[in-house]
Amino acid sequence: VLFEEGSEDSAAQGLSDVLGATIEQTDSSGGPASGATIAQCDGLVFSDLGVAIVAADDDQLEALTAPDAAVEGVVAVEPERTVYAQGDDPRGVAPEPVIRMLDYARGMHDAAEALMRAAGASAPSPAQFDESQATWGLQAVGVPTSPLTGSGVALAILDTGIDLTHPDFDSRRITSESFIDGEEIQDANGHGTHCIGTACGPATAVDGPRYGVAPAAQIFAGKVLSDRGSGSDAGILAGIEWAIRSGCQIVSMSLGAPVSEGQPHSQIFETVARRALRRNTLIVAAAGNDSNRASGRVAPVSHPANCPSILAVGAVDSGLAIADFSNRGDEQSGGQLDFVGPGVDVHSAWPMPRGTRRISGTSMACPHVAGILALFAQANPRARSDELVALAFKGARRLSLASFDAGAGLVQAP
Amino acid sequence: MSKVAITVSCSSDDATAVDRLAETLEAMGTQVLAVHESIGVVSARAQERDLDSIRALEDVSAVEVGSRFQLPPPESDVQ
Repeated sequence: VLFEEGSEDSAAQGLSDVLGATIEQTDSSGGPASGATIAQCDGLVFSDLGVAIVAADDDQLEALTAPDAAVEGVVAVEPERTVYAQGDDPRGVAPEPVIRMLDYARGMHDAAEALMRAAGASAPSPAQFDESQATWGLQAVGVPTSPLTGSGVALAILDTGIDLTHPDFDSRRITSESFIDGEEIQDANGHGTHCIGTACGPATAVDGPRYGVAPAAQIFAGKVLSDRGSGSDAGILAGIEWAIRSGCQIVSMSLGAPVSEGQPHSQIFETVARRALRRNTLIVAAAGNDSNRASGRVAPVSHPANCPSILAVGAVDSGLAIADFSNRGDEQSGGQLDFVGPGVDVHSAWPMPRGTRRISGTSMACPHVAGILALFAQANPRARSDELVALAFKGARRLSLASFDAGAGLVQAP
Repeated sequence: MSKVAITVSCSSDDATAVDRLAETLEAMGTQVLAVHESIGVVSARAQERDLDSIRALEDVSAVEVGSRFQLPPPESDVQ
């Protein structure tokens, strides 16, 4: 029973008269109502909430809800609902913890956006980034001030491989596997080395600012894209299986194939992602660069990031505006955007002799998010994949961007 | 009719069921490329005319023609 604000006492008295029962009161000076109290009494008023829970028979319920009911101060009466812990619904609804968490977080984010708009709040002002010590991307996601390093966390990057001769990875233990016929793990493209640099690069680079989010994470480099940058579902699925079997908690995939508006996601990748989650392996993928927002073209999230159980990452620039090329969540097909990461003018490793390079893309945003999830995994060693997602959602910085562009916002290091 | 790269997901990720599905596919003349037991998936090449028959197999939950992925050239500013 919901009471009108300011009329709680008179409404509680009127309710007590209709029910012919004494209604217990809680107040803000006392502790929370115990389970025993709730179970045993005929009625309980939560004074701070302006809500009462009462037991009423059919006649009493009718008296309270009739159009001419005259209990002063009562605004609404609803039957009590029975709720279940996620996954325990006795009606047999299949548990989909990550998806439920995502839906919940999106709802929260939309609510926050609406409140910000209603309050006339302005966008957070972009920080001014001095890149002498750390890249703007690391600063934007709070890495330099985090004590976490990703130590003890296995992170797989499925891409074009890694430059094994790069001095920034000299002291690192790297587990690698090539799924490209006739090609070794050595990266002759550069894309994979750049992504691994962002996710797992060192705390102190040989040259230039720090660019790695999780410098102590164990690197699993899977080559699923050739030196010419091409790959297939078969190679990517082989890489995912390798990562799962290797015990990787996070898989970062800066790759995608464009889809058309409304095109359904792959049932196979969705099934695989769910099976991975059951083994505590969380897959993160780039949302894709098929948009050209300046010209009015905004493309939907690519395959396989558009699968509900794969986290889709869009890109923002150093002003925390959405990148011109960054794809958007597709309400029609359900391919949502989950987070954004730094993805414009990103400095990271590049195969020697060049050493480092600045490039842009959701491919660059994705390993920022993967690295941050590795930090969450280090801080919460017993957390399941869905719990890591929930923590990252909770900690994300809300941006003044639509949720279909930015999801829960910009990830932040714990 | 040409062969196409396909991915077949098994309704179970039990290793025995996935291996059995791979054997069934081979018996149908499908070229099995890889069996991913832990994710319940078989990568294969099949005649396009056989796809409906594969979809109708008891242990098959989905059949999809493989996507190709292509990064922009390494010299591109947006990747």
